[in-house]
Amino acid sequence: MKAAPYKTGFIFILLAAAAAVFLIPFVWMLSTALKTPAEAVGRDIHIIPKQWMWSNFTDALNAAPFMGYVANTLIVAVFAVVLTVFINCLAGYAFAKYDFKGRELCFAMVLSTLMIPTQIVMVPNFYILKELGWLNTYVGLIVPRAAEAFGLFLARQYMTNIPNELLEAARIDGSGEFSIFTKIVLPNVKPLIAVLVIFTFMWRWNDLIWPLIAISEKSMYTVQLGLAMAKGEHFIDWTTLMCLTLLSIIPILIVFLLFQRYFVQGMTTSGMKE
Amino acid sequence: MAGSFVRKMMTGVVTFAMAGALLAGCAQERSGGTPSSGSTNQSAGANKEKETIEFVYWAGAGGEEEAFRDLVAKFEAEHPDIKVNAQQVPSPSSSDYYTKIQTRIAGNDAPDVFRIQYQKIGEFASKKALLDVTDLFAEDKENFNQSLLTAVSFEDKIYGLPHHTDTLAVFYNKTYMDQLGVEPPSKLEDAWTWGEFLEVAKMIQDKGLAQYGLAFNWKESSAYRSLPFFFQNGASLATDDFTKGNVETEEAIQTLAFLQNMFQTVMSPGNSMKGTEDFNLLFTSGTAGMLINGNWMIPRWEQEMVDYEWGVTYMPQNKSMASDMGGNALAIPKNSKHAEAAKKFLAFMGEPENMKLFVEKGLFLPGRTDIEGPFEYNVKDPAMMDLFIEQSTTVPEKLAQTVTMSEFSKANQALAEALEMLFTQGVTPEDAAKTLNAKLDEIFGGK
Amino acid sequence: MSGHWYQKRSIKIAPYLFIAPNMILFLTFMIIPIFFTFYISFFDWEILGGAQFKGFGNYAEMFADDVFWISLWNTVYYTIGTVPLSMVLGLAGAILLNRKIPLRAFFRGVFFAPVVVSLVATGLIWAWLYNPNFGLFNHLLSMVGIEPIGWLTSKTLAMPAVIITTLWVRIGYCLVIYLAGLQAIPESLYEAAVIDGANSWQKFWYVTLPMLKPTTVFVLVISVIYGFMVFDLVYTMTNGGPGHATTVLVQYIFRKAFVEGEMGYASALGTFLFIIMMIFTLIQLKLGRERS
Repeated sequence: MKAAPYKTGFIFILLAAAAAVFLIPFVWMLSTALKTPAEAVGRDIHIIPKQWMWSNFTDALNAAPFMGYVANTLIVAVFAVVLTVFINCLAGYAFAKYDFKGRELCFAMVLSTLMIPTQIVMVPNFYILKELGWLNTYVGLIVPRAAEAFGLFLARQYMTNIPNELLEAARIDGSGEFSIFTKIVLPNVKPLIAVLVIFTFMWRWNDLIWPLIAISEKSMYTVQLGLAMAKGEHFIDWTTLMCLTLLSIIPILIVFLLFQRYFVQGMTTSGMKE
Repeated sequence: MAGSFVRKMMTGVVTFAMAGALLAGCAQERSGGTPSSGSTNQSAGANKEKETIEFVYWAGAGGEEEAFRDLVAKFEAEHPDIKVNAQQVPSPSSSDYYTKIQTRIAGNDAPDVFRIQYQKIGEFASKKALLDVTDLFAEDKENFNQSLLTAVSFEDKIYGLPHHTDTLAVFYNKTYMDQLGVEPPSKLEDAWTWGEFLEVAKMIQDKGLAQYGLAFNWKESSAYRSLPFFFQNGASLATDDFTKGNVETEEAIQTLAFLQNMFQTVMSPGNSMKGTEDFNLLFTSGTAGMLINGNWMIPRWEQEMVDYEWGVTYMPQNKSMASDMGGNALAIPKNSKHAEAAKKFLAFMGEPENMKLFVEKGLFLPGRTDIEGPFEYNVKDPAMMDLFIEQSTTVPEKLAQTVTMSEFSKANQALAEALEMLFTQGVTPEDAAKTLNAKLDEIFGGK
Repeated sequence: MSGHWYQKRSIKIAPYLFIAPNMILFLTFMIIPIFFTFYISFFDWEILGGAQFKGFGNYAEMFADDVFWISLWNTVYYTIGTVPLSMVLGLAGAILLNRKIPLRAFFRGVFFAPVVVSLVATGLIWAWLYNPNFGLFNHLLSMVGIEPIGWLTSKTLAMPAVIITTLWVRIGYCLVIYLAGLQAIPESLYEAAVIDGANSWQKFWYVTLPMLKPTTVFVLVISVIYGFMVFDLVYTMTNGGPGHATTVLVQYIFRKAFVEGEMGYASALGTFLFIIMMIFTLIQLKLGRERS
């Protein structure tokens, strides 16, 4: 395409303006986090705080045992990522490369789970967790949500591109099915794995509903749960709240900035074919 | 390219995992299905087996937060064989406190002791969810506030400890009042009438001192805080025999009209039943000139009202004076797994000395009537607590009986909906009364 | 290793084993619970009370319930408000970004960042932005002499305010998908169009849009499903208020179940929602198959 300089310039300005608008919420959050509580609710509102109260962050960490929540969420996210990516790749491979009885039915079942808003199954899940003894445990946070449909679809879609000859050759050589998966399939889908890792991490980090069902002990709170609970406590003001919010999104933003390419790839691969 | 990336990812993953595990320390429960909270702990290598009870509560302000913590520590000191797992959670007005507890009770995963409003305990008791603790009061029954005791009783058995009570009054921004040249009443008989009250609120707005004349500590779960106004006007929610709704009377409709007017002219639009406005923030930031709230808030004002002077005066009156019966009890779920230890905790909290400690710090009124004064309330101006104590004597008996009915939860919900429609949807008082009354008939009549 | 026969058998079993972990988890934590919900929808059930069989009573009550219809309407309103705009603006942004301009990755990052932030955080930040007394928006308005607006407290403005917040989150998502879609359109098609004498607008209309159809279908259906399942933002920002101005289906279900304790009725509502969602997805499958 021809790139007329004035046209490019105009587009650039347009995008810059839009970007500025999109950044406003982040800026406002940061601004509030750095103000003194009085300034945040004073008569005159300024975007740039009068004093930069970096101490607000340490105060916020004292108000709620936030680092503990971060630790919990990290543990859950990491194990969840490993588990989820593995079983999604496994199942995606099966759906993509095997023709078996009940394949369509099972896939329809997976599809249907997308339409279940978690809110309507909160109570049954509570009882199930209780029967399993998984309430207030890491297992209860990690395992139930390890199966999720989007990742499975992504995996299946990606796997359909694996040349069948590769698999046939391995079978002729006498490999067992599982070792075909681990030795041939997995190494060939690294981009998929990268995308799944990032997405699973993001979903788990941001998940509120499941921890809400599974956890009632403060020591086991995750970041989002802690944030939602913090809002209701009497001793939390907006500066503290904005500090905590900022802290809660920093990890995911860092991951995003480093791996932007893979995030984008993930969103689009899922859209391209159905 | 992709290979080294995956390698990097794996290193990252492992590092994360190690970091997470380190940070978590041994205090967290290990994955592998350790039993949920409230179960017996096996202390590593200790000679005595300690029992752990879970105590779930909220704290509306700093005073009670500290008070609970201190008392838990004191209890543990006096009972070395019992450990208290104190879980402070957001208050019912900002969370699904009761639903969580109900779900846990129904799922046999109940906490051992929990804090509960008098307006709610009827629901739990009538559903047989609470432990009968009548034996704790064998010697002591007369020494408790009888209204509160009725509130925690059901079918002649006692199901909770009447821990404390509180009431509402009008906090005001003294700096503004001084600027207006208004002196709020300092004697009960001089309390503002509805008209005077509204006028003061309007003046604050008209003279540009604050954006709103008034803020009110009510939300959906505490819609009953509007009831004093009904009783101030000689109206009530239920008929005398408590079998039907009673809000289609002239007095009730007048009250609804007054409340609607009050909301629409001197209050923030976000201060409705479902609204998310932070009424306390409105007061401390000087955005609202007055705030109807309770005695337990005093420690917070002492800390946060730095830019303004403040004071407290009586509720307004019309045909008579009335205020809210607030406060909370402590109760034990019927299927608590540590009933005996929980009862010990309840008994402990009900002892005069401990109750006194609590109310002095939390700034409440005790559930017992036999505690020897003087009360050393942790407050800068003792006259304020005196005002609240005096105000609490104006709680009409019928109000107390209404809010402690076992079906009151539902009535509260219906009242909240009616007020929300009245405030934000511009429904007429007559229509609101009609809808509300129909619902109340259903609820009180036994659906 | 072993002979041909053994191989065949393990091939037959393998897929079942491979999908087993997922299927077991789905069954346990999604399928069984949803059946439980179906079951409960025929009862009058409060958490602490017993269950009383009610037949289709809950469903009858649902259709007679004003608030149910309001919540349905609000959900449709919300979906109509968020889906077309996010798609159109996302497409526009993608078109703009589909050129060689400086800082392209930066812009893409900025527009996509809101997607990555949790909805709890988003709700909190925007509630604070909208705060009538201390929020940024009213402050900016006051600088040009406009009275403070009750963004989240006004009957008419509350839903638009939530919609705007949603757009902040969804535009980036649509943008990124469309961008990939645009980049997949072969340059040769455009060259052919130019040879035929097409101008920019015609290129867009006759080449770009048709080639984007599969992308559009996908984004449309996902966005509609997302619209119908909206909960977190409403829960954090408005609680369904003022009155019922922002009461949407999932949030209404949540209220009925967890605030008012009417599990049976909430289950009926949930079942209804699930059925609607199934229908939508079937539509998607049909649309997807027709495309070729």
